[in-house]
Amino acid sequence: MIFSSLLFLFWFLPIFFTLYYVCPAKYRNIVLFAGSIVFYGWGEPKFLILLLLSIIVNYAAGRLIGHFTGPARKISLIFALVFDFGMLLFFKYINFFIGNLNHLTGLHLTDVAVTLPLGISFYTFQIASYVIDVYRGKVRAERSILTLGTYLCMFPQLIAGPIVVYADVAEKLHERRVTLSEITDGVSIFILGLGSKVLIANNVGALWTEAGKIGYENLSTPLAWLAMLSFSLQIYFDFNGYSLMAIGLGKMLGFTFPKNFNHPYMARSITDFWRRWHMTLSGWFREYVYIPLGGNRKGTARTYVNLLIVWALTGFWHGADWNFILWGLFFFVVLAVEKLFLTDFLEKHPVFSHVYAKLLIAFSWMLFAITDFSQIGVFFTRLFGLKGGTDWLYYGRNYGVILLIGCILSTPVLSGLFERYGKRIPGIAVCMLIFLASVAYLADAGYNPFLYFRF
Amino acid sequence: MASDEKRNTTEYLLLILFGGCVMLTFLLYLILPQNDFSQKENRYLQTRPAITLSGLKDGSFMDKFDTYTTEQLPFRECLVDVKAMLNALTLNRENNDIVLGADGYLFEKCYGKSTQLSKNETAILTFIENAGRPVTVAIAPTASEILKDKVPAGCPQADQSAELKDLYDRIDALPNGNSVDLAAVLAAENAGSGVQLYYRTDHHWTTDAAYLAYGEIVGAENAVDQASLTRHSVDDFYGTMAAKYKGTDLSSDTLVWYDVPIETFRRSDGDFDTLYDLDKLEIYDKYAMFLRGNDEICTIGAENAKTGRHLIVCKDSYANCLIPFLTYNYDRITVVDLRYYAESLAGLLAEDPDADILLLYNFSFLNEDNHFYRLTS
Repeated sequence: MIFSSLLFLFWFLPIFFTLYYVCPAKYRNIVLFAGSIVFYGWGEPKFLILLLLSIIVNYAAGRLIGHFTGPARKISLIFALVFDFGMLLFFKYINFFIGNLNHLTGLHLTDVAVTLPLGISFYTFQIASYVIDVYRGKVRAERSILTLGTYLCMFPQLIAGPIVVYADVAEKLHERRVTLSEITDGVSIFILGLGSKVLIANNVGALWTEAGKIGYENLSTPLAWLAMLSFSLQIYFDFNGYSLMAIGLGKMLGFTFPKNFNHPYMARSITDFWRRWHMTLSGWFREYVYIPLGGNRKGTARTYVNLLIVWALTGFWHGADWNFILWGLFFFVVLAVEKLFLTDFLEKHPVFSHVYAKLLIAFSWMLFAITDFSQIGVFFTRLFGLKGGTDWLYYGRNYGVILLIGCILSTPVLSGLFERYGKRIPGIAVCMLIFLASVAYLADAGYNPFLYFRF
Repeated sequence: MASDEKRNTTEYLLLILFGGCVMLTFLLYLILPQNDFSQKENRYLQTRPAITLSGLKDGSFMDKFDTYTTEQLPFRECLVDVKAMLNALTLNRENNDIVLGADGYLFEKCYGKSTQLSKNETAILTFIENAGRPVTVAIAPTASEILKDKVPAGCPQADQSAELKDLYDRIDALPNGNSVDLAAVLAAENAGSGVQLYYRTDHHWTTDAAYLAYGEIVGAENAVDQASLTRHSVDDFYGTMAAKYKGTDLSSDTLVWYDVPIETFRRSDGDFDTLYDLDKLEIYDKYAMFLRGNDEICTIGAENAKTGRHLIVCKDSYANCLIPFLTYNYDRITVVDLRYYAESLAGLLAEDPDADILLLYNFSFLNEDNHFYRLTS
């Protein structure tokens, strides 16, 4: 099930939240767990087994790590991590490896008939944070399997993040109170997320889809730039929309999830961008990969090797294809250059740094969005090759307004207004209008893609 | 005290409105009667599915339920119009892939020559090579080609005339191939007279355009005089493209037909004594009146010509408003729609060795349909 659907809005929400609020506080984890199982099982019933198995394995590993001292702790940890990442590798990457092995060796191994379980990349990272933190002694092993299950399956962030580490919610998993004003805040955040996804992301995304249908080789240069802008806005409003919806739903349940985006397109360097974009993912890599590898404490050369590893993995996490690795490595190169000498210069030149960061971010999205390397080449030839045509007149008029709205909403200019009027009548009216408009767009079920099926 | 209360209501107002809206909609889903057919979109709608174990197992229950929540949403048609309006407010001339052009004309987009087009062209050429008798091919250009000046500048469209010229050259190079260029006559008529050749809101051509094409196919000297036929018309026709584009600002079309007497009309759903189903004029999809809608195979017997000649037509729905005129040239017309006719076409041709053969399609169908292989199978 996805949030931006009429099924979720008008069936799941009323039934689930009625049960959740009616239920006494101490039984709410049961309702949340059961609701999450329905939510996940709706689209992927067969993968429920995988999810439940993951709960059992990591619960047992956690208890063993908590119970033993000495090598048994380490063995339990390794066992759990091999299981977690083994599942991820198998379901997400097996055919990528087979394909490349065939290519390299000339073998003809057939692909394995697997489909990617929804959200596996997200929940694997979440559960790994739990066993690692138990091992490090940062959190105590969870005694109740239901509580751990509730953490892992919690429907708001299950399929598209944010990546909530166990330590952040451990306390609330055991005891939480939810007030009417928190629920109201949650509703307004949820509606903003829904509007982001349905009204902005889907509409600007339609232009990117059109560019694909026209064929990159047929695009005029202005249209290629418009298309690149449209994808950049689509991925931001889509992803941030999902995160906001998750954070809003979390609030309605009594949880506080971490912020995932902080106006990333206002960044003035790529270093800055990754402090603002998908913050929970970069946080996870820092905490569980970069720092354990030694971070920047083992000399310059080792620091760059560590960065290289982190960024190759970050790219690969986003999808089992070479273009995602290329995308990650692109960031490694740019971040390394910035770290070496560029940062000071960027800080001194605000106009240049804004243009620089926005262009590089947009180019990086093209590496991300186009999986075929030769097509990436074609697209960049169109961006810089000066090809004329009238197509941009047509698409410029059709999408100009929505692209402009997207650009404005990428900046913090309206955030102040929301803080000020969000809880007063005008803010409430705007929220309800956004909600009704989103429902109207969902009613005419056309274009409503789910972008994270590869994650 | 009073002001405290007021602040409290405002504080929770959003929760009350949102919660109320969600709960109310949920209840309306349960209470309101379900529609199982949408006239406007001319399709069946999903009603609330029953839970079955097998449906849960293979996921078909969930899929149907998803569709149900969309198609039975309370006030759906009204909300869909709201979406069309919001879309128009952002100056977007497209809704659901339908483009609003000049003078209220709607157009479909076309991203150029498809891979299917080459396959279909090959199927047609192979069919002509193996037919053993002359085959006439007439491909109608669609509105975006003839009414180019009404299509917004830069909207993706195929160069239909160029594509068709290439195909016609290859057809005419075959001994049995005979192509009829419909684009020229329609373009000339469009430049010269005020006759409406395409519906504003439907993807078909008008009966007047079909008559012009008919004249090209049989030759002007063999064509029945349009003025000698009794003309009927009905207003308030909104077509298939209007159903997709939605919106409330479209102007309607007039649907025209001519009295054409026949002797017999045998369809797969029964025998009839007229070519037109006037009951269809009461529903949304009025164009379905011609030949009573698409059918896998139907046969028309007529005595308007008494030429003793037979015709076999393979066609799409563009042909439905043209075929009535052909009864003035043929005593028997067999009409085959390869989308639904899965039996052997070769067998059908062998049964009627003297019949003329006509392939009559529109360009967008030729570009997209994937049943042309049945010409040769």
